[in-house]
Amino acid sequence: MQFFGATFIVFNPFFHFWFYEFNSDEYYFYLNLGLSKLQLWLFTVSIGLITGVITIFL
Amino acid sequence: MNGLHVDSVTKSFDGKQILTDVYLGCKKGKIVGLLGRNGSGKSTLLQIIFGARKADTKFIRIDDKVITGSTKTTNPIKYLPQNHFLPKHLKVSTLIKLFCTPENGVRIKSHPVINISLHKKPLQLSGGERRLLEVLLLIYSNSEYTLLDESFNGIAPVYKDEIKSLLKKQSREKGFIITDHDYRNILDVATRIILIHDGATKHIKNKDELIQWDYIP
Repeated sequence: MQFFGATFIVFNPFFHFWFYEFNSDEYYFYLNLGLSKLQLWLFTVSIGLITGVITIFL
Repeated sequence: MNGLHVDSVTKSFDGKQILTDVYLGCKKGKIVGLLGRNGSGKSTLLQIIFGARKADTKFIRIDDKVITGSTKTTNPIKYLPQNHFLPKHLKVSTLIKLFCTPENGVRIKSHPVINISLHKKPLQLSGGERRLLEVLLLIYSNSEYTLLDESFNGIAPVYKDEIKSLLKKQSREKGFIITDHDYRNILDVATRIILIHDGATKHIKNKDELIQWDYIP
């Protein structure tokens, strides 16, 4: 389970990069709504870290 | 000085200078048509103005406020990219709520194509319907300036005239900067034409100047 949680820390940024930075114009949707790239990255990394830390205590 | 003011934009890719001497301005009530050959830097310039792409140098100002960073929550500029950009998992009705004021939302919902698609998701729309939705969302969006990149691309001829008419109508409330591969669409709607030639902006007064700058035969 701990290993499974830790994968979020790696895979969340990976999928973020794959879907938004590398592969898709969908990024512009969020930018048009007023979110910056920095905010989106911070959100992705935070979700990965929170999920990873929670699973350590499961 | 009022309006959107873009100056001193330079951008190079792999040592090749794409934009060297860019000046353009847009005010509310105006539609600026941006023309240029493939690869001349039209989209790059729009992305720089929007804040999605970094420039080597730039000076962008809206009214008295200098825009320095990338997109912020208070960004008064919206941008329609060349390709589909709407998330596939959100319903059309939700997208309208996110982009438009309730008043403009009612206007979009009354469009015959959109009206029957309110509960669908972008993935369930055809390419042309999806593009039409994107263009309408941006035209009616809650912004001071809207940048439209290849806005007529993939849209049925019957809707192109409708979009031109909508652009003119909505330009009373905001400024538009618009590009398209077909210069005739731009000439139809633009109140001012700017041509990007060798990285620099040329202010075009008539169609003859487009021939003179070797943009059309």
